[in-house]
Amino acid sequence: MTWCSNHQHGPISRREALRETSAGFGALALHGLLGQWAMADQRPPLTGQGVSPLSPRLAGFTPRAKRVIFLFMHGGPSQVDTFDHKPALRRDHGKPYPGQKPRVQFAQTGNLMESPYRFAQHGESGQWVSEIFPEVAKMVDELCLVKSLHGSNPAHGAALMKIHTGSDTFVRPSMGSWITYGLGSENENLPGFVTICPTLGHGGVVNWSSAFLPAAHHGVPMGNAAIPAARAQFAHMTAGLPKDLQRAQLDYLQAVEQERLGAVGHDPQLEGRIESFELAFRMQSEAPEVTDLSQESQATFDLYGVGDDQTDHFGRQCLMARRFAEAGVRFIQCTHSYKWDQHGNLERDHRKNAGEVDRPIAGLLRDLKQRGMLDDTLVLWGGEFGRTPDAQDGNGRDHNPHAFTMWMAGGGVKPGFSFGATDEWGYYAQDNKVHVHDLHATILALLGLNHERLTYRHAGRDFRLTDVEGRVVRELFA
Amino acid sequence: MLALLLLLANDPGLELFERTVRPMLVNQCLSCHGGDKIRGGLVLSTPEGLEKGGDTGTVVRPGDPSGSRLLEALEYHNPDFRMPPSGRLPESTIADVRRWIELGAPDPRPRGTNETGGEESALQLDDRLQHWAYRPMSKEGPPAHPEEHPIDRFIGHRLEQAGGTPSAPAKDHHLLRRLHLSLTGLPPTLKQLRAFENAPPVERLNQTLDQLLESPHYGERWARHWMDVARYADSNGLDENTAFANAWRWRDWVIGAFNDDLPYDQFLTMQLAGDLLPPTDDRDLARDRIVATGFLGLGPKVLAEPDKAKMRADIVDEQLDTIGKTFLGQTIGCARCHDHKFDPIPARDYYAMAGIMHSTQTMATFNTVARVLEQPAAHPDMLAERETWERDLEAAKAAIDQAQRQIDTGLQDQWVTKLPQAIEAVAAVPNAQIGREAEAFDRSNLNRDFDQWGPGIGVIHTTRPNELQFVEWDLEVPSAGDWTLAMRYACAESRPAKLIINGTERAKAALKEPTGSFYPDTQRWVDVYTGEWPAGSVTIRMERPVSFPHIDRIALRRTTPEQETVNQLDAAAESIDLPIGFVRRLHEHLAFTPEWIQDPNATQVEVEAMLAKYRKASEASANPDQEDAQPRWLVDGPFAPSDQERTGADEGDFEAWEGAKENLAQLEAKEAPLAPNTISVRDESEIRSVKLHARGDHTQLIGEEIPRGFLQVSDHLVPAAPIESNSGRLDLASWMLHPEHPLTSRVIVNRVWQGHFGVGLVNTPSDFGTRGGTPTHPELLDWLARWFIQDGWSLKRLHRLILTSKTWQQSSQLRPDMAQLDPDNTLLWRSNRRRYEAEAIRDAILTASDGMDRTMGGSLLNTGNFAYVNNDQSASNETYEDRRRAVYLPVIRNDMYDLYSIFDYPDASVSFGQRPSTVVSSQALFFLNAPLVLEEAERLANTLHQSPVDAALTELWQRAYARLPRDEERQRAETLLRTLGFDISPITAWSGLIQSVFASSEFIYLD
Repeated sequence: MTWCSNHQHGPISRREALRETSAGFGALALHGLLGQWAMADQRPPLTGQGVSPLSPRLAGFTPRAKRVIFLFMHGGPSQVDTFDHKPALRRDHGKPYPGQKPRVQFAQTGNLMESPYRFAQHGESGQWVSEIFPEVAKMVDELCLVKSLHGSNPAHGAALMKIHTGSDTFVRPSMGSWITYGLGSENENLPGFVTICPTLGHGGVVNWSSAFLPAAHHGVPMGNAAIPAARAQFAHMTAGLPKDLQRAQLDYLQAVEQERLGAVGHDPQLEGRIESFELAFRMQSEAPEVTDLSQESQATFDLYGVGDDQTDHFGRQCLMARRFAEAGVRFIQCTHSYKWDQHGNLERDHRKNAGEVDRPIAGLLRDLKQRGMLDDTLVLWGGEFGRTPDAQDGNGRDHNPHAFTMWMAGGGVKPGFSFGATDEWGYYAQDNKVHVHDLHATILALLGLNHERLTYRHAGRDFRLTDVEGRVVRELFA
Repeated sequence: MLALLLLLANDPGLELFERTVRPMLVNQCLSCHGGDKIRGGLVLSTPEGLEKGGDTGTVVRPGDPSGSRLLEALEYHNPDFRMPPSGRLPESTIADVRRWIELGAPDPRPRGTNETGGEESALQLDDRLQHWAYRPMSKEGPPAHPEEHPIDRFIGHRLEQAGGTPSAPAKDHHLLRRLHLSLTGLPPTLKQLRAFENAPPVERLNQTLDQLLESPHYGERWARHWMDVARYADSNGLDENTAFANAWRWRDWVIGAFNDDLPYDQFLTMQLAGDLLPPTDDRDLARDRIVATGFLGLGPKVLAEPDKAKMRADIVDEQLDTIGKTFLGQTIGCARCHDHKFDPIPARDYYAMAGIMHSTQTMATFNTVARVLEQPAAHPDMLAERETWERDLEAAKAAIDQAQRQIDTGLQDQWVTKLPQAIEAVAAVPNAQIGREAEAFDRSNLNRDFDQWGPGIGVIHTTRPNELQFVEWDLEVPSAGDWTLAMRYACAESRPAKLIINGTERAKAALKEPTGSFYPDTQRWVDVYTGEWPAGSVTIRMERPVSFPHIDRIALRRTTPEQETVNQLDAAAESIDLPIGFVRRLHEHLAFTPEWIQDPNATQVEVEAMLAKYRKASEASANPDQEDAQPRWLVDGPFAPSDQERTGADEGDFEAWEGAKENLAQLEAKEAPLAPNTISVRDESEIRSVKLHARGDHTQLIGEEIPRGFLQVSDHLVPAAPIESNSGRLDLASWMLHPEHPLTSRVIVNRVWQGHFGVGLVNTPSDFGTRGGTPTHPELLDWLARWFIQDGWSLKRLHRLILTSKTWQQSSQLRPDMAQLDPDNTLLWRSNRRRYEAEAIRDAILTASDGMDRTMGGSLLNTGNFAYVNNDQSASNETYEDRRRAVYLPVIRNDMYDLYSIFDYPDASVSFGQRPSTVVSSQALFFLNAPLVLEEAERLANTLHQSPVDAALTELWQRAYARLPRDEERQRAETLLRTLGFDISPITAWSGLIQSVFASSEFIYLD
């Protein structure tokens, strides 16, 4: 009885898959209990003997989105200064918050503080957007705003881990890893999960790690937050030898391995290795093509703000994200690194931050739309938590996991829609609350995955992205 | 009762239920036929429900598959009645269900549970004997079988029963590589290969085995395995990734413990409770006992968690999880929120054990950012000796101070009366000095501050600590020659800054000495640079990435005063009857303040300031009990007498001073060693039993405090005595080590077995619960577990036992007939082929290329203790180029060495009992392009290309594969060499070939 033989032997051959399945439980653990549909004979034909763990799999039910682009605003953008318009803050500016402040606070806060920015209604949907996002405001009819998000931890590190992995306590697979585990990649020559210029602090790799999921689902970083996007690269992609000589090395290696395989008999790992070298060789040619922005037009650069000092870093990330999306990468994250933490100087710095991302984000949305990709690409925007409506240091706001706004666009969500609400001042999520677990469940559902069934057996337990929580917020579905 | 249960366990129907039917029910059926949802009135979550059937009648008729509607549904023949709706299950599952029904459809699930109580009920404590791991270890000896070795008798017997036969012995060079890898993690060197080949064939295996067990590399290899289960790392990981710069002491202790073959019972006890063992005179042992408890402190923790009670509970949880998996193979952590869903571990047991860890101090502080506890790694006597020595040292220094004060006060009393006169005289002496207030800079991003430091005093200091800080002054050097640049500053901590003069770096760490505070009363002058300067304008720049020292003034003076100046000063000294030295120092001191000297009022201010300081110092000397009694100013500045001047003091005073100095020198010569700090735990001052936490929530405590204790799951074998004193960690270790404990010994012998076979007798080495694997050879596991205890818990003897078996020495060659019979090789009819772990791959490359440095022990971490290894925008400073064994490279949570993460060691945050072995393309990219591979290939190429191709190929094959190349392999290699341009660039061609050899499976797999 092998109940828990999870992934000890790498990619499985068809034979092995069937054998595991015949053992009753193994295959289910192995392939992630994608629901009732994950039976061996419904899987796509497995080619060769060494099947890549990134082979696309069938989703559970009709997927609305095929891929995700997560625009992560590290630091915690303030909801009441961006998308959650609170006139009461102007009225009650300088007065104490009349409600109960949270039991655990990150730091002491003072009285209520109005937003330093003007809000206006935009688009046909008439949604309120702060003046610091003039370009995104023009795209507001594409956005599905969720204003009632809440999480559990007021410290950056824990909140980052929560938003990325669903756990603020332990090392767990990240959302992107779960998604590629569930769906595979559409392009076997590229990783399924790419994270561009990710932050190295506040959990660092934990935020894109596959933890106990098979290593193939680990996020592949392209650069990191310490490197401008213009210089971001994948590791080990620069060929050691000229291509033709490397081909000769590979041919040699293939001959050696085939001979050895003949001598030792069937061995799925050795077979998988042969294939992995060919894949690496192809990846080495394809990845540089995808990441080479020089083929893009000046008009595209202008659209994303590439080449403009203020927007170049995030513009490149967004443009890269579109190219990865086109190439079939399943989960792409762009990170606007740890800039949104305005305990002070909110007026100046939130404006500056928004200025760095506004044009790139709007550019990405327009570009996806004009290419017809917005329909099946889910764009997600937000930070690890929101900020307090009461002031810190005169012109700042503290961390607030009890209320924040994220928005989605494309990928089967209602456009020009707003869901949930905070209290009058924006301190707590109040109506139609959406917990981070609910957000995760919803994203998985949009991709056609059932969050209760996308499990992985580890250390004697079936783990999920949503732990034992999570509600699919169907109200957001188009 | 026991006999009955054992009988049941051998029931094939029951086995089928566990292997196929139960998982099928859980995964395919219960979502509609159990729990909250009941379709068609059919409840499959209980045995009663299965018997009763649904709205349309029974679904299972024991013994009658064709009359069982369950099977009809599974078979999918009837288009209107197909289950599960998502698709037909595999034929083999259906066949198993059919066979299970034929065998009477036995259903061992407990009866009488709530029908809708959940998908699957837990094994209850009363029924624990249903699970193999909680049954007593069998006392049966090896079965009757022609083989001699006990392991071969167990394996052979089972294999024979199943109709199989063992494989032939592996080839000698395969065995040689296996022995080396299994025991030391390193492939054989050329020298070791030759020694093996030259030894008499009948003895060489045993000889090699003996040598390798004595090799220091054995400890490195097996420590690395242990580091996996102990989730060893050199940084905290999680939210605040601060360095554990002393973690390596624990790692080195583990390496030593394996090399010394420290019996496992002591090994375990020291890690859980080394600090609680009775005192010993053995100083090394006392140190090791403290270091060993680092096991409990090494876990990752959310260090900025604002909810301190949660942090505490999470840390305890992490410890229990690790302890449970590591020593007991139990997933205790599952019982934090509720009774374990599958194993007989009630939440009550979790909180009984949690009390032990809550009574143990793991953290030095819970403040943000929290820190793990470190304590001196030393015998108490050693600490006492050091303490005595430090006290003596302090007393000796105080005696010197006292004697010197006696002298200096006398001298200074004489001088101070003439101070105004002296200043006047000195001010009249011209000087070639340039002084500048620091805040009168030419360019800087520092802030000027005139408010906080007293009248007339301004300093520059930092307000934007996240940017590179700098300040620049432009000065005119009046004439070329030797000049000395000095600065006056105050700083409570070391803030070294870089000094750049006219674009050339002149000092890396100027002003690095702390002065005692940030305030002017500790300001002091320091010479920062002396050298030859050209005449004309010069730009002086100081920079520092973070906060600046508080610089008050800078000055440039001639390194040696001009002769005329000296003469005038000496004359002045004589006329007012003061020592020449004092007058010169006074001149120098005031010379840094030229504008004050030109301004009589300012001079007056300076005189008063000096007098005020002097008075304060005198008062302090007179009242040594006063808080700020340290007469700093007396020993600084112009008033500090030179030794020469002191000889003019009272003779008795002078001798007392000399004697005190001699005393100090003697004491310093026999310094008592300082104990290094090490991550370790100790008991809290008070015992904290805890209450049950509802749903694991630390804010929702229910019921009474639960007395500290252990898992009840072994109560039938190991009577648990109540814990009375201390935290209970020592009791915990003793409980685990009871000779009848059903888990401890089984778990460790299984780990060792896995280390040699790739797969354990139980294939889930850290989960012996009901959800884990079942032993393939339960009798052998039990025999080994008992043998190990009786033999004295010696790991080296256990290795020898396993490695001398024919079972281990079999070939790994695939045999189609046996593969048909037992595709997973659970019967061990052959050896498992397996890939090296990440570290072994690196070490194999470095061994083959002759590039390894075999130095043992110590730290290679670059980050200071508790400093951030990396943060949001900065990559870590850790490097992995060192040529020592991989076990010594830093293990950085959140930012693992890429070679590690590529080869299945992605995370050091949780205890893990087995490394996966995946095949992904990033591994191929690593072999194609990683600098390590390219550089080591070139290193070996540099040697090999000097030999004739034939000889070089022989050597390469021996280094890489421990064998000779066959003719066709030679031809293939030569062809590649030519393609890679051997005729033009032999080193490049050889490098390319060697790289391909490194990438080949034979190099990184054990056959």
